[in-house]
Amino acid sequence: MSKHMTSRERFLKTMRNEKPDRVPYFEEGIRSDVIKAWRKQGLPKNTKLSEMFVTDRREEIEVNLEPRRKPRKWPASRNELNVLKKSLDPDDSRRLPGKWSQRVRTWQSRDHVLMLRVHRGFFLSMGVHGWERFSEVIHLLIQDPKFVHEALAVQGEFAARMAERVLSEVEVDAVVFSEPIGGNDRPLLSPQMYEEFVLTSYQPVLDAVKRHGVETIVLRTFANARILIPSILKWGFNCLWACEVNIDAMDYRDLRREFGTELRLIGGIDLDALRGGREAIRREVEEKVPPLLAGGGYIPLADGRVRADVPFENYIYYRQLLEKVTRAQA
Amino acid sequence: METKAIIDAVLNFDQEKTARLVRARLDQSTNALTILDQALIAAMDEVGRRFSTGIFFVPEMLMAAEAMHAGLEVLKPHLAKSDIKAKGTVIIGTVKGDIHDIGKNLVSMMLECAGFNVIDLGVDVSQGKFLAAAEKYQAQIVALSALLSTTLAEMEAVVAGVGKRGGSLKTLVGGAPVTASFAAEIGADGYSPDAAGAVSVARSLIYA
Repeated sequence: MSKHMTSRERFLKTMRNEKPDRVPYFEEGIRSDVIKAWRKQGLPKNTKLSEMFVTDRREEIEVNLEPRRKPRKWPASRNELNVLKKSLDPDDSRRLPGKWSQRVRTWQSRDHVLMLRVHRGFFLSMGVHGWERFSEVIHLLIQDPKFVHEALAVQGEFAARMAERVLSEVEVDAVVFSEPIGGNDRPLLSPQMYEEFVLTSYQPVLDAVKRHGVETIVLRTFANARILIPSILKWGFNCLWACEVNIDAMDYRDLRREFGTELRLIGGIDLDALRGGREAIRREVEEKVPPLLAGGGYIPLADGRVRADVPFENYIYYRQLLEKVTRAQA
Repeated sequence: METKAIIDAVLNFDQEKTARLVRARLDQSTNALTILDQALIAAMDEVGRRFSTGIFFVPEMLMAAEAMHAGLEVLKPHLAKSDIKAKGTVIIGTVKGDIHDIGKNLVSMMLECAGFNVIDLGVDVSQGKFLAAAEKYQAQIVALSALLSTTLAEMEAVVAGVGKRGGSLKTLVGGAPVTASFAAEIGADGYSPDAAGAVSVARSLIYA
């Protein structure tokens, strides 16, 4: 067994496919409404979950990547794109989280894992929040692909300058590209279209990230992105974090067999099992986690935000079992 | 030959050409139902096939559906005149507590293109509204969409409500957190992981 490590050291070791003292345990984005519900189910008053379960702190820097002035209409023409461009000023100090200088100082001597969210993904950066704009963007993709390239290039350059700005001051442990809109059986765009439009526009961001020596580049997807994996690997991503997907279609054991440890993995534990009960949790954790840990480069985590429909007693059982199974493996 | 030309126009996402070719066939006194079934619906069946085999993705499917719609608009007055019935009536909506509409609208569009009469109730739809609409329009299917896992209980309640009502009304469910096993667990009659698949499930529910 190696010496006791900080959460940060543990994460870095894991992502380098080396052997940490134990696997990192992250919390699953549990919100206050869940804590409130769990208090009624036995979570003691004034007790934090991190006091009940061994937890590695993870922080994500969320810079504001939205246009400063929300567009009345998202661009579908060059003129509208020029207007939007003016609202994407990377030098605007309001884009950084509050108390920035103080935070930067604190981060210099941190023990926890720090990630930077660098891109909001294709659909959100094209302004898609509902059907009307979704339909408009799809039309543009087919009828005016040059415009979509231009719009994505504007977003890519802006995101790259924001990343540059943060990375010149802060050494982060990973960057996260988010891709929140997709289908549970496949992505909405074909791999060819995803490469041609989306990944190409990420290039300036990826260049900035590499210039600053960030080792772990995460694609956090909320869709079944399996067929996009060869493309993202080609572009230099090395970690997949799949959330709220059809778990059978994105079984991490299959992905590991297919892509090896070149693709690091975060998540992979079916949230439905946590809703289900002890037997479902036991099967899920005992069958999936050990083979993935054996190869390294894996952080076990539920495949999405734990919500109030997970009973507290299930969550306790899950966290305790996860510790037991992973420690046995170590 | 002309039938194939219409199919090709749909598959090339050419709205104007689809409408023009449909009009030309009507001018040749071809029966509107024949054009609908043999050209437009046949084209959308091919779209479904290309989607399920990974040749088409959502952009291609949506653009083809719009080309098909352009042809359908030309046919509509003729279909109405001939008193031709739809393939069935589907009530569709996103369940209460959920305001996501992209998946639901894709399904709605594909069902319409397959010749179903689709009544779209929108988003955040209560059980009562689904049941009332099913009654009012004498629907054969209630199609439910959800994106948030927290609204799955609502989906289950609507499926139970339809079951309690009795009769031949069927339920079809889908959405990001919905799986085949969840659909079976709550007693839904049909499940599809995508919009193109929803068409064949809807057909099987009606014609089974």
